[in-house]
Amino acid sequence: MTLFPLALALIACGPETDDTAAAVTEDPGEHACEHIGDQVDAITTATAAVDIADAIIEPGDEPWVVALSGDVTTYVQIEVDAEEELLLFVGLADVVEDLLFQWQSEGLEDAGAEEHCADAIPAHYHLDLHEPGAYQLELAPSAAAELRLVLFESEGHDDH
Amino acid sequence: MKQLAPLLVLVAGCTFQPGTGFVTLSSAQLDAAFVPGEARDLGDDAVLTDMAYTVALERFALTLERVDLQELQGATGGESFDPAAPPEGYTLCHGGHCHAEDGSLVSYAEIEAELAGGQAFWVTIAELPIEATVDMLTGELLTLDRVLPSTELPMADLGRLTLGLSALSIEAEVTASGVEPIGLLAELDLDEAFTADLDLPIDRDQSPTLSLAFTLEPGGDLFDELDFAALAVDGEVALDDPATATLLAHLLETPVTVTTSTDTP
Repeated sequence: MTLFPLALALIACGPETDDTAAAVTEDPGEHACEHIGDQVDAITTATAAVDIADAIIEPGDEPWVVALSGDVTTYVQIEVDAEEELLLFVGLADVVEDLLFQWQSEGLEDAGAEEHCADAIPAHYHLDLHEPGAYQLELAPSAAAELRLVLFESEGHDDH
Repeated sequence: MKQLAPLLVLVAGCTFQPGTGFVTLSSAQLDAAFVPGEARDLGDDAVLTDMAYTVALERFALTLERVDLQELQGATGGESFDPAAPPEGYTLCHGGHCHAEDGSLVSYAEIEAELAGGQAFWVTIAELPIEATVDMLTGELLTLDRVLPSTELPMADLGRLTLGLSALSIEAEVTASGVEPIGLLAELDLDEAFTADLDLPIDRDQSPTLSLAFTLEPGGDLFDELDFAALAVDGEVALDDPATATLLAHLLETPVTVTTSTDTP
């Protein structure tokens, strides 16, 4: 499978960046459990190749919903201006395959189900974004149409 | 002296009668089944791989030998650590594991063993023989009714279990867009084990009886990273050593979950 974003057939839809996500007051996993099922604004799912710039995800309290391909590897992108560590909680196992930096594999290990809601979040990941730039999450072909995910800065988020 | 005789008899009775354990392991079960998961399940025992192959399974069986309940011994104390302040080389500790600098996940127990300076080692406290071949496609619930050396568990701090695997049998048909169907037949004799962390102290503070339920559910990533078209010879998959290692790595990453319950009188 090529690592290049050929035939990207996904659209990420989700919230605007939550600039207030800052304070550490709650276990991030527990917080992800509370939010991963939240409603999001519906948008049109792409059916043809789109530029990776249309598939940007950012940290925030609300979940992202990503339309997946059943045939090809697809990608979403995270862009950071400085070194960051993020926690990624996902609603399906065996979809997130790798973290890439400038389209080169960084390696990624599944840290397992979130203990507070293993059914809703069967996998989570620690993303070490070690320098500014664009990182891509590689997503495997999926029998499921959509993937829900929540992305937090590892140093925390608002308790609300 | 005559007055002391009953006391001596009483003491001798306590000494020479068979001792009982701190906790009685009253029952144990293993639930084993192939559970592809929503992202990979194509129905009818077929799974989608990360390389977009469809693997339609006709047989998937594992021969399981035993469960070993183990305690970390040889540690000299003081090896515990604060997950909020991980030891050097580790970050982001939560949920029973930390992330090592090389990206691997390491359990708290393994880190504590490392902090013990390499002097710690795992010792089997109780062995539960299985010695059965399990049809993973239908799934099986096995009752583990033997415990060696005894159902009476001694005082211990059980920190890990291993589930021994001695054989793997897979028969399937592999298809993909633009690829002729490929047969997959794998019959492997193995000496491997699944492992899982435990946090199960056996002492007088616990209920006197204990039941254990183990679950082994290999998922839909079993055939990931296998380029079946490249491995095909005359319409059959020829699993070479790297491909076999990849398949086993995915299989052995399967977590064994443990549920404990205490029997109420």
